Amino acid sequence: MSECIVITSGKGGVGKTTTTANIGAALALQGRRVVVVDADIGLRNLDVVLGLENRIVYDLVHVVEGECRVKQALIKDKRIEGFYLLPAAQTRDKNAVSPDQMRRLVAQLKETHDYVLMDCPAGIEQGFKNSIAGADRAIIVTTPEVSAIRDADRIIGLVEAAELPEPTLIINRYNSRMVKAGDMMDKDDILEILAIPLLGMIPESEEVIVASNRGQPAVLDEASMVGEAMRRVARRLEGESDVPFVALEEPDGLWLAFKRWMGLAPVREVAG
Amino acid sequence: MSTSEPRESPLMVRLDQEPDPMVISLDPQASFETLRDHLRRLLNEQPDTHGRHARLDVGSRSLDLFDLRRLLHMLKDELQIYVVGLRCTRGSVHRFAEHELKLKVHIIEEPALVDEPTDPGRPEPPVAAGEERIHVVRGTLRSGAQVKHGGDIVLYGDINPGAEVLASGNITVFGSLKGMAHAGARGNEQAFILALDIRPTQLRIASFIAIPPENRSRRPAQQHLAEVAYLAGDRIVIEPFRGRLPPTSHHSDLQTRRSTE
Repeated sequence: MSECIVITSGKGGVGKTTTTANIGAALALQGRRVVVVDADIGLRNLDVVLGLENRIVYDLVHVVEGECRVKQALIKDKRIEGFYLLPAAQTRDKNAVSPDQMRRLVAQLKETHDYVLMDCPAGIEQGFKNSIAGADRAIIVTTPEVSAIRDADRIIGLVEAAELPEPTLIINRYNSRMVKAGDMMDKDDILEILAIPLLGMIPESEEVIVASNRGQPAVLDEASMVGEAMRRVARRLEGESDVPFVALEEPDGLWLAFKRWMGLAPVREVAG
Repeated sequence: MSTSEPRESPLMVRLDQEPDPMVISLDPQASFETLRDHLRRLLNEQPDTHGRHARLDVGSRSLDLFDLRRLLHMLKDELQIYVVGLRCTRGSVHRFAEHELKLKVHIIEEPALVDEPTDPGRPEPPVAAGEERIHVVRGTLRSGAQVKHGGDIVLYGDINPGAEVLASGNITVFGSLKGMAHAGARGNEQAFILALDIRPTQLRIASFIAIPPENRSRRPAQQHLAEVAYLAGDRIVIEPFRGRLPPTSHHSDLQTRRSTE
């Protein structure tokens, strides 16, 4: 049974696009047929993060307006079997499509894919309404910052008002060291406000910036902590329970440090 | 979720220049913003009204005291129209208007309005008259949600930061109050706010506003069952609720200031 999941946050810059790209790639690596859809019409990014920018011929607006078939607009990722991107138009804006059109598009994509992941634009306006129109459920991305959490809370309310099932939460850029020092909100503070199930905790890491600039999702890097955290999110989405959270694991003993030195364990960046 | 503006009608604001002070009547159903814009347009087209005194007829409309103040300021600052009197129903704003704004208030009798909870993103119905009634809200109010009621509000859940609850009566929260709550929104200084845990972004009772001090935002777990906030003199105080209303003893730990706008 295929499913459309919208990845949303309200606030911009918390990592929706990176999260979409990585979860999508991770699900595909687990053998699923996945399409990631960039709903940020006019400000497209997902193609860049995936390193597929130069292969765009047709985009979402072309499909919706009937200028091409869905299949023609889908870009196949050559690194990962069964992983596709439907890019956004860069020259139009959010009003170029309607929620009804998005609903039809999603229905079409679900026929040929196990997962349709919708990368929602920031904000609560037309782009948000379009993105949630065809979604079966939502993943909320936030960072441990008060402003991001406030917006996430508002978005959860709007998702509930749209009668989607209870959304799940990904806390991005979690820095255990700062949390321990009392300089960052900890997971329980965040969950106390948002009160939805936790789907993932992604450690803060500089490697993400490098990976995103290179168009290389972190999940492709076996040694990346972020990649590992994203793979675990995908496993949880697939229904696996008892998957521990990367960002919460206790900092390493000597043995792990040795393994890391030998290249046998993921390198830990900022998260510790 | 499209917000449908009420259809424009020239009757939303009526102006009778004959009497002195002249009479400005506001449609009780229209939203505050719509009224303000209509009023501004209408009076701008009638320059001979500027500098005159006026009586405001709000009928059964429930302006809260902040809206009323905004309206009076707009009339005075932009159009030099001085409001000296107010015509309204009993539940509406009269108490506050009389004491705070020194308006001559003429009470008209009219039944209470019906009101309902609002979805986030929907325009809200005005606060209705009738202080006795209780409005029950089930579930947590998230950021952006707002509940207004002309009476008491009882809420089962939390009020998150960014959510607002406004009642002309008391507010009782079976949960944490982390957002904004305004009890006695039409000027009732006896109104109280009761919650299992009070650590709001802001508290308001009647025309008083309190902001919790920094050190209050993160406290260890409560030792008591609930807390109550009420007005003691000109300060809003929060203290453990010991089953008595309104509490007599008080220790104050909120900085209160009277609202100026």
